[in-house]
Amino acid sequence: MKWLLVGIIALCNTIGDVLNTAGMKRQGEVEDLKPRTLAAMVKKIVRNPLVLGGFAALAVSFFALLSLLSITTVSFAVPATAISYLLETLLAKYVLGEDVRWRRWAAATLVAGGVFMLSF
Amino acid sequence: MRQRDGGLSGNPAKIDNSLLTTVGIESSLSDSVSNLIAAKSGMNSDTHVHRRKTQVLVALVVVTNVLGNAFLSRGMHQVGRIVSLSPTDYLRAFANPSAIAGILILIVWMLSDLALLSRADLSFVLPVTASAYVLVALVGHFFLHDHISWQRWTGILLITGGVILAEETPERTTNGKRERLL
Repeated sequence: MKWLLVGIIALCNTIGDVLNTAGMKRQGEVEDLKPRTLAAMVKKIVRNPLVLGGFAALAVSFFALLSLLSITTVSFAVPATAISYLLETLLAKYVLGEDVRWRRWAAATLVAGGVFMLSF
Repeated sequence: MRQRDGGLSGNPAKIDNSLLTTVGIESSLSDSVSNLIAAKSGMNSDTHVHRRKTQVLVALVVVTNVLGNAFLSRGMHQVGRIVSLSPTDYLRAFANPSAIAGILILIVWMLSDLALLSRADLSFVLPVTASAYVLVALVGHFFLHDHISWQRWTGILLITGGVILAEETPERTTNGKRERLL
């Protein structure tokens, strides 16, 4: 049960983040955090199928995390989170077309390794 | 600091004030970091302002992430065990004040994260916002007197290294705005 939840969290997190990034990039850049700007952002989001899809994936991940937190400690979710950093960077390069060079690969690898070490 | 700011790249402080005041962060630290970056790479004023707004958003995302999860985690432990496919079981959690506070803060986190993703690469945002882990560990250590093992210190150092490396890359490498969806 625990590991099934961990798998669901990692997979849905990755899919959610990639869809959200693709969707938000198509909406145009948010320039400030004034209430009016945020309202406009939310208004666009509710008609943005990519971000809505991202939300659906993140919602599944969120409820899986709630379940996991209620039966075990946060540290149990950590290995899956670590792996999703590398998976998301891979998808950012090949699906989103971001310019991922050695610095970003190294950054993702260091963070994944660091997150893993934190679980001890 | 402001004066040096003006000397370096026009007067970004003036243009940039809206975001800073709305968020309510007096970011002299962020100022000096951006100044260093701008001075090092010879960024123009627009890039500088874009960078600084992005940094303010990163700070907001990190802080709301840490606070939101702390409150939610506390609330969920008070509520007790829930493993269920039925959403009504999760509604029980909404009767707990800590859980409610956590969820509200996480909504702010979600919105600021989306705003951040609208202007920066996912492969930039992920490592940079991982500084939340470092914040959690350090707050635990210095305020709650948590013991940090050598493994955890190693983790903190690795993540900090990752954050610094990602910070050295341009925050956005994909093309500009596309207005219509799909």
